[in-house]
Amino acid sequence: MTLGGYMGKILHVDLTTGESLTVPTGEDLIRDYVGGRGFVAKLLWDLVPPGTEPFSEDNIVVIAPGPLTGVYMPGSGKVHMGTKSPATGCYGDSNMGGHFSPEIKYAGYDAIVIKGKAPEPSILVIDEDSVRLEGAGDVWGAGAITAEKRLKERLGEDFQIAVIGPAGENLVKYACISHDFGRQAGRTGIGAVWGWKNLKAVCVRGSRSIPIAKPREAFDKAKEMYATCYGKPGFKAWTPYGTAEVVNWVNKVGAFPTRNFSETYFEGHEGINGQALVDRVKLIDKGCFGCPTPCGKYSKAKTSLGEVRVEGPEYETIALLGGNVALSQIEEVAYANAVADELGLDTISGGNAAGFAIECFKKGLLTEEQVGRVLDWGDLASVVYLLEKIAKREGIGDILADGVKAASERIGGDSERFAIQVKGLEWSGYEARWAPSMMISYMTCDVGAHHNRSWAITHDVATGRDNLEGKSEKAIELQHIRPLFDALGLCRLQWVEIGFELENYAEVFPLVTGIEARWEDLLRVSERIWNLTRAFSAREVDGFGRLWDYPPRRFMEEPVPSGPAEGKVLTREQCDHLLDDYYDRRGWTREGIPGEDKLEELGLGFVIPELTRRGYILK
Amino acid sequence: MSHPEPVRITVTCMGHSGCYFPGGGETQVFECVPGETIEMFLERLGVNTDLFMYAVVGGEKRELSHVLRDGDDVLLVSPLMGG
Ligand code: SF4
Repeated sequence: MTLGGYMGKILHVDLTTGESLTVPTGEDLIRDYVGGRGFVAKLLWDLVPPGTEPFSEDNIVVIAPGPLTGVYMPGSGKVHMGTKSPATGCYGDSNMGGHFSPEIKYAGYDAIVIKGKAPEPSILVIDEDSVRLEGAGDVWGAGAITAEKRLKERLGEDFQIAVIGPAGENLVKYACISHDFGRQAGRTGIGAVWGWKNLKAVCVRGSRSIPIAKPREAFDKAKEMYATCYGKPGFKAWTPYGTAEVVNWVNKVGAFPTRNFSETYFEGHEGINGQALVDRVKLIDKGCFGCPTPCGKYSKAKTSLGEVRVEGPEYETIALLGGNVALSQIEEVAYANAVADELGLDTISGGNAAGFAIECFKKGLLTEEQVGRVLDWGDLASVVYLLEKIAKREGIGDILADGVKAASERIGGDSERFAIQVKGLEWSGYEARWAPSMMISYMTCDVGAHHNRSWAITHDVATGRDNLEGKSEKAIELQHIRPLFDALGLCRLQWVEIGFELENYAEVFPLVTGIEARWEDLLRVSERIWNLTRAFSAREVDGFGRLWDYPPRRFMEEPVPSGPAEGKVLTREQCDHLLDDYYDRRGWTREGIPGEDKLEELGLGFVIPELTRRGYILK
Repeated sequence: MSHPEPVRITVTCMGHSGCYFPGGGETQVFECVPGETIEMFLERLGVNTDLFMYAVVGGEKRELSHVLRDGDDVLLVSPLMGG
């Protein structure tokens, strides 16, 4: 049976042999995991043999739209990708907008699973039922933006293309997947797994229709959803600025990453805020498939190093390649953004690595001889130099390319204290020493220090930033709501940015799919996925658990030195309090492992034998 | 001695911040003290001003230091994002 919203099959590709096959999208997979992130989590559990190395033929990459992807409705252009992460060794995933995801559905697939390793640098071409590997030719070695352009010229404009840059080819552990000339699945190093597999690009074209259970009602509901979005009072206020809008506020509340998170208030923020973006570099708005609120800002910027055109910078890039390296001019941030995009580097981890290296240099832990030049805060040339060295894995770049955690182990001194990461994934754009709900969100995020599973800082501001009560509870609530969008294949920004009501999604899901699920049922699925990704990381990493959930020592031991959050710190004891509360509420052990009862309750009993074998569950 | 004219404004909260605003986020009419800024108005109501990034007044973006005038239609914009 093909349900509405689903294409009915999953494509499996073996890069080693070049062979492919399709399998029906199982009804139980749909019922229990919905799609997108849910499919990623379940397929990783089922298909990656326990103990697989991230860089190995047995590791897989799953690329999965959701049931609402490609359907006429706001924000239906998102795709989820996942793998066993080379950055963390744990469950890894990332999400991307643009037009790639709907095309996968139009080509006839609910997911693409890629394993093996191509014998030579290749591109994967999926043209509906025709699936083939082609030699990468002149795009191997090319920048991500350049390669996408060349592949469009080679294959045709109507192909949607996801591609890696030199960073992925050189196995940088935070290499991203790039698409639509500036959209990225940036986190957890999926680009490096593609690079190891000799996979430069996935190119997709399709013309099939997506079945809809109740087409008339779904269409009417979607039309109403667009009208509601356009009518929201926040629509006109937010859209011209996009995510950069929040720079001033994050700075004002003392949470803006500044000089490798040593400070949380950036004195130069007015040169890199939303207004600076709009007044000085923005050319046009740019959005994903079906988006009523285009957050992308296509920009042109001139600096001492040259002129660039780039999609961005958005908030995360401004935070990590702006404040975190003390660049105070939006043109310079845009320039660094363009460099990172072409190299195929995640700007969040890249900005962390640059900030970390500059701090090491300033503290004498790295010398001019080791680095190859002087590094300084607020110096665009230093930042660009580091990004290029990282992408090529040259000199100091080879050390930084493994992430700040691994780099600190090689650099030594007290650098581990200010390697800003959780589980080996670098911290994104919200410092949390005075935001306990945000802190526990980062600590427990399933992929490492990423904000998008639970953005709880407004909850901290509203309910008191010095007390810990209720903070873990809020994080858990958001960790179920927000990733649900990644399972449905939708963008969540219409909800989070302009206050579009969640009830809309609950209403439209049965109209598209024919599945009578209430919002609470979907949240239950999201909780199931959350527990499964945790179980996957426990299965894959020796000794996984509580110790993997602590923030860097800087955040537990160094009070913020100045600014609105001056003197604030969350001690290890306070972090322990947050963790205990979090684990108890989740039904996990105090070691951070999902309990048997919780697993059974969620229909995840099948992971118990593996967790028992690994010694996490004692019989 | 003449009394200053009363300043009446309408206030709407964008999105979730309404949960933390007296009476909720729906449009409400308030009377303000002449010369009062948005920030002062919020403080008088006991609302944490850090919950809001800025306001849109009569369709124009304004800082919270904007001095309220009679008839102002104020949309309070909170930071809801996070990618
Ligand atoms: S809000 Fe931004 S990320 Fe979301 S669909 Fe629109 S353009 Fe894409």
